[in-house]
Parts: sequence; structure tokens; C-alpha cells
Amino acid sequence: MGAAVLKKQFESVLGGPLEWQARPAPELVRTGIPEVDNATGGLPRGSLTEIYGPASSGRTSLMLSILAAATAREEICAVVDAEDAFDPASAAAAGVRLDRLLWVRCGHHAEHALKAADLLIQGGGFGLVAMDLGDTPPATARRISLTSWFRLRRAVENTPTVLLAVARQPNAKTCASLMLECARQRALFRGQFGGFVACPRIMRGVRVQVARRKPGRAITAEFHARALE
Amino acid sequence: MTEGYVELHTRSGFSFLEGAAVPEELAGACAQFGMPAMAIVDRNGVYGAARFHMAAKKAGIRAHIGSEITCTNGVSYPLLAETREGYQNLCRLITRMKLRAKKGEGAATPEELAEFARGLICMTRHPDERLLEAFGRGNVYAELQRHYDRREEARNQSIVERARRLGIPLVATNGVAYARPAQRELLDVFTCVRKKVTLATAGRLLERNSERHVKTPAEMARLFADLPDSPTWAMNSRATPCPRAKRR
Amino acid sequence: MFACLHGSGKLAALAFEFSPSVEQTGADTITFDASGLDRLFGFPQDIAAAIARRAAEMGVKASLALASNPDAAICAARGFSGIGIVPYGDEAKFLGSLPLTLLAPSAELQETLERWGIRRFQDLAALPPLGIAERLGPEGLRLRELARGEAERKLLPLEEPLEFEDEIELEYPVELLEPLAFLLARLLNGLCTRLAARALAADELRLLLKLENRAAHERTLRLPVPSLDSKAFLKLLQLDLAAHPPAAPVVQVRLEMNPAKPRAAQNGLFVPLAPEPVKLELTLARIQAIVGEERVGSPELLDTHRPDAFRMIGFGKTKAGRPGSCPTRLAFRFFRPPRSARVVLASGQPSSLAADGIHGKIMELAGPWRTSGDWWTADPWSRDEWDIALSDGALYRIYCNPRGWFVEGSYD
Repeated sequence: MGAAVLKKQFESVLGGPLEWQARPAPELVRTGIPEVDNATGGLPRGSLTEIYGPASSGRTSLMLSILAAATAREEICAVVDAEDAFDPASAAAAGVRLDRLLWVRCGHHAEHALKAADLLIQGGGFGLVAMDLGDTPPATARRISLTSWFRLRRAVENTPTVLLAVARQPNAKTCASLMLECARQRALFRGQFGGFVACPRIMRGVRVQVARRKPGRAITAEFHARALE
Repeated sequence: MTEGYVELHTRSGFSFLEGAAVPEELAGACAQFGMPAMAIVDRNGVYGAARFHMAAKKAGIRAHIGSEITCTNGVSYPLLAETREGYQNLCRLITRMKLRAKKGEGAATPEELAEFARGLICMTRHPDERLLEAFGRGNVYAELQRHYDRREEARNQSIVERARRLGIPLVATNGVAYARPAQRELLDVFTCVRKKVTLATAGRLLERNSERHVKTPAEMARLFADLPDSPTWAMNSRATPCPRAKRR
Repeated sequence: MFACLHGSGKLAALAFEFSPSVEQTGADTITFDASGLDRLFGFPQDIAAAIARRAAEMGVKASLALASNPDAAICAARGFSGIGIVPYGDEAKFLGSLPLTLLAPSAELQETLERWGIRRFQDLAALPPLGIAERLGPEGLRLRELARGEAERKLLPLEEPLEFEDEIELEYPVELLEPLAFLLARLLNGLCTRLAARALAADELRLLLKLENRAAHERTLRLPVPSLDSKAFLKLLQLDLAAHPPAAPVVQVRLEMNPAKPRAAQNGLFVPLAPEPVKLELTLARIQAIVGEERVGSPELLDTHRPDAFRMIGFGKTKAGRPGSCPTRLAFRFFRPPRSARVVLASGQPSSLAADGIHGKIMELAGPWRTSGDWWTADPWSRDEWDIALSDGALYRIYCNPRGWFVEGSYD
């Protein structure tokens, strides 16, 4: 009896044709920013998500919010920090529980960051591994071969880990399942007090636009990142 | 304009462990900078008033008397005596709240504040309607301080916003706690004694910087240059007659 | 079946490897219950061979005897050197040739027996019991039983010392880590087996290496949770030794394990994701080998106004922080170290900036924010900060201290 016949019989018993090759859709986790969640649905587990944009475009704010949401779910998270740029005070203010956070300081070595991220994923058990290449010069980031990204993607596949990469520009190309581009709309530098008095000299925050570049059609969302006062 | 600036929020060493300069030093600094007057606002009392009054007389400046009254709602309100009646009310208020508490403790209820409000001017970083009702329009000022601190500036912005909504005038002070910048170190040590910690473990209980000293009118004018025409300066130059503090 | 070891070396440790009920019969004699070992090894000869092999490994020099009762085994071990197996039922015959002094009778009894011309086990064993009871009393009867190898008694069990340590002395100094790993693996396997036999696990490993230059090299690994994973232990030790290699060739390896109750917790179905502790430890050790030891861990904020004040602590060693929902905050990214900058001032405020990779006109400005502190220490600080929007499109935090202007990082 051929496989096709068997399949037919199965389908007749179960009622309706079956998608035999289809994988279950990956579980999506919240980013902690309702606007972004509504637009993108969340970040897929077991896949690579890329967040990119120029400096001061709100990438790190988005990353910290994702970390805060993950640590609030009691997950263990890791930040692989290529340029030693992570600010624990910002993270704490954003609600990240530092005791559930592993910080790997790679000291300006992007290749160390790749290795460390690989080891962390292989080790398993992390809810989120964020690889921060945010200040890595684009030339250096581009030198990371597609094979390395592919390797990371394969490593994270079928695990419950969300792999996040933050960079200046998209690097992982086809290896990323979700790509979010950040852009700064404007920086708010003063209170909005009409003509009564001007209260200058305080940075109040940044308005960030997040655009989903992949998968599907582009969807944008906006959120406000408040400055630490 | 700079001539008009009067420091209206000064804590002397008589605010136990919360001020790091004696009244004479404060009056001296005041005279040196050409300020015509100064108000001493010690914590829950007028302990420094007598000495400050004498020192001010010697230094040739006028002394205003007030007190920073802790309220049961967790906020403390710097109150200035505008009239003789105001001074009497302030003293009665302090007596009332001190008599029912242990030494070094005690707080006034909002009702008591309202009861003894006549003749007093209230400066506050928490302006609200109840205060306005209690002290009367024109006697409540929203207090702004600037010590080069992000958080404080953000607070200032919300104070300005609230004051505008309530129609309360603004007043600029420096929340002085010592006469010279170097005395900040003494204040840090006092803070440690008060909180029963060491300098090494006090952490953020200590001062963030050394800006709570007596500043010159020119310096204050520069700090508040964005508010030149607001009623800030009107308040500072408001002729607050000196209550005769020497009366027993 | 009982076995007895008579000699020198770590007899008790050897005995405990084979049996939980061990008796310290004398200073140089250990007796233990060997029943059940036949299922593991087979015939008594095989049991004896296994014990002798392990004794040789541990450097124990002792004579060994196996018998159906403890006293027969003791007599045989004390009386004969090497390995002796007392056949069941033929104890009297086997022990017959031994001198009676071995049983250490009282001086009086000894004299009496001497006068009777009874010197060996077989002589006493041949005497009728009734006559002995009449003439020598209960002590005589007991002595006869022992001489016939028929005395039955229970062992007085020795409290097992919960020490898990082992060492290997090397015949020649080992310089490379690779051959050392083999030795470590052997030690680890042995110790883990011993721990497993007592339903224990290790929460700390101490490795002591004696070096050729008479120095000692000591490394301690603390585990977040007790474990028995000898493979992971080996990898951890290897990584640790690679990071902290001994200064000279190794001549002796000693490994100690701290026993602890294994964590008996069944994870619930909905318990959030967490790395397996030992695996995590291994992952961390591997990453430390890449980026450096002090650069992996959890940050802990310090209680001070000083900027960028934190310290790194080992992962999983912190207390639980407070969970809280916070609004989305604008994050800051540090340039470590800060980039030195040239700043042009206009009417007291910065107006343009040039630093390594960053330059432009300052479009927006918030500041100065002034902080100073630690004035009582040798390392006080004081600085003025500005938050700026630069014409290159990014937001930076710059500061000025007595050493000059710096760009501290960017807001992102």
C-alpha cells in the first residue's frame, strides 16, 4: 500500500485534508509595548528577530522593554553586549529584573559576541538571548558571515528561546524571522507650556516609530520612550 | 531685577542635623552678596529665629521668620510669617503639634494648618486647592528650586503646570541648607548621623551636589532667567515685615 | 560473608567502598560485611581479587581474609598474609595451624593452656567442650569457639565518615592539561560513584595540585546546586585549569568534594524556562574562557549618585529583585571608556562637539546636571552633564569634569 493511499485513509478518518508538512506556528511573546505588540503580534520563540536602526532610534529602549517583559515572566535572559554599552541603571528603570539577567561583556569583539550567543543557546534554558551589536561599526557587523547567522538560527530552532539581535543595519538577511526597523520621530526637549513660561533644559523622551519589515507587509507602530528623570 | 532677590527658604543648624550653618554665617553671606533680607525657615520650629534676628541686625539685613511645618500627609510646607498675627499663629501651630508628640517628632494636620493660616504665607512644591482655600489666594506660592538636577527640573515643570492651572504665582528659592559650598560635606555627615549610617553606606541619602549654599542674586537671576517676568520676583520683593522675634 | 583487612593504609575508606557496615576491630584491623558482593563479583575469589585490586590502587598494604563469620575472618587476616579465603564449614581446619596467642587470652588462661601444652587452634578445638567449661569457665568456652571458627556475632558498625576525597600520586610530573584530564576523570568517576552510593551529590569541588617546585595549586569550584554530573565536573575543571594553569608540572592530584543533599525538586509543568544549573555553569565557564572572567555575570546597581556605578556578581547569586511594571524608558548606551571630546562653548553652553567618530553642531541641549560626591575618599568625583541632540541625528550625554570634556554615551 502506498503512502498516498495511507494518507487518504487517514484523512478520510480524521475528516478533511491535513497539512502534513506544516509546522506549528511559533509561540509569540510580548514586547512589553502594547503598540508594538498590536502591530507585530510579538516576537517568535525559536527564531531570530532583528531590531535595527540608526543611533538614538529607540532600539535599545525596545530591547530593554522586551527584556523587562521577559524577566517579568520569570524567564532567565541574557544580554550579549558586543560593545560593552549596556547600562544597568537604564535597565532597572525600564523594569528589567537584574537578578534574572546575565550580562556578557564582550569588550568590543563582535566575534566573541557571536560565540557567546551560540554557547548560551546551546546551553539552553534561556527565555531570551539578546545580542547587542548596536554600537558595532556597520563595516564590522557586515563582516559577520551569513554562515554564522545561519548557525545561530539553526541553534535556536525548536528551542523556546527568543533570539534577538540589535544592530545599526540588517545583517542576518534571510536568517531573521522578524525584522523591526526603528526610527526616531523626534526628541522631546522641553515642556509644552504654551506661552505662560518656557521651562527649557530637560530632555523628556523620544518618540519612536517601529516598522515591521518582515514577514508580511510593512506595519508601523509608534511608542514613546520616556527619559529618566 | 537682581536687586530684588531674597532667599526665602533657608535652614540653619537649628534644624537639627538638617542644616549645616549657624545663623550668623547665613546672615553674613547674605550681607556679603548684597541681599537686603533673608528668611529663616527651620524644620518644625523657630529655634534659630532669635539668633538669626540678632545676626541680621548686626549684618544690616532684614530677617524674615518662618518654619517648615511637617504635615501628616507626608509633605512639609515652608510657612513664612507675614504679619505679627502670622508669627503668633505659627508659634501656636508649632506648640500644638509638639505638645502631643515625643521630642523631635510631631506633625500638623491639614485642618490645623487651615486653623492657623492667617498672616502666614505658604510656599509649596505641592500646590493644591485645599492650600489655596486654607491660606487664601495670594498667600500660596508654588516654590521652584534649581540645583542642576534632572529629576528636580522635571518636578519643576509639573509644578509650573499645576500652578498655572490653579493660578498660583511662582517663587524661586534655593532651599539653602548651608552658607558656603564646602559646608555640604558637613551636611553629608549630619545626614549620616541622622540616618545612623556611615558615609560609605549612606549612598543616595547624601547630597547629589553642593548647590544648596547661599547664592548671589545675580546667580539666582541667571538660574531662573527663563522666568524673569513671572511673579517670582514680586514675591521675593514682597515687603514681608519682620515679625519681632525678640518678643518672648 | 565477612571480610577482614589487616595491615596499614586507609583500610576504613577501602572497606566503605565495598560495604556500609564496617567495624574497626583494631587499630590495624578492619572487618566488614561482604554479603551480597557475590552478586556483584561472583565467587569469593573474585570478591577477594576485586578488593585486592582496589587496595593496590589506593596504596593499602594489608592481608585480606574472607570467612562466613567475622571472627574467623579476623583470625585468618591476622594469622596469614596475602589473601585467605576460609571455606565454609572447614573453618577449624583452615585456622588450625594458627598460634593461640593470636586470640589474646587473659594471662592466667594463657599460662594454664601453656602448661597443658595447648599452643595452636587445632589443639584447643579438639578439646571437649564440657571439660573446658568445667576447668576454664565461660572464657575458655569462648576461646574454643573462636579457635574452631564457629563464633557468631554482630559487627559494631563504624560511623561512616562523610569525606569524599581522593588523590593520585604521579610517577612522573605532568605538564600538559590533556593527560591531567584523564587523571581527573578517574578521580571524579570514583568520587561521584561513592556519592551516588550514599544518595548524595557534590556542591563544591576542591582541586589541590602539588607541583614539582613544591608549590601547591588550589582551585575551588562552587556549584549553584548539588550535582553528580562527572562529565560536567570534568569540563568545568578543565576550563578552570585552562584559565588558571598551574605554574609548574604536577606531581600529585588531590580532589575533594563537598557532599550535599541533592536537590529533589520536581519542576512543574508551567514553571518558567530556566537553564539547567550545572549546564549553565558549564556554559558560563566556556564564555568566561572567551571574554574574561570578570565580564560575565549579573549587574548589581550600587547605592550612590556616582554615574555608571555597578558591580558584576556571579550569575544566580543575587537576591530576587522587585518586579515592577514601568513605562517604556529611554535607554542609555555607554561608551566604555568615555570618548574624550572637544567642545566649543557659546555663552557658557556647549554649542558644537568633536570626538572620535562623533562631531556636529549641538541642536538641542538640556543641562547642566551637576553631581559630585565621595569627597571623603581618595577618589572623589564632580561633573556637569548635558543631554544633547547633535546634528548627526543622535542624542548623546556629554560631561565635563576637571580632566576635560567627554562623551559618555548615547540615548537609544
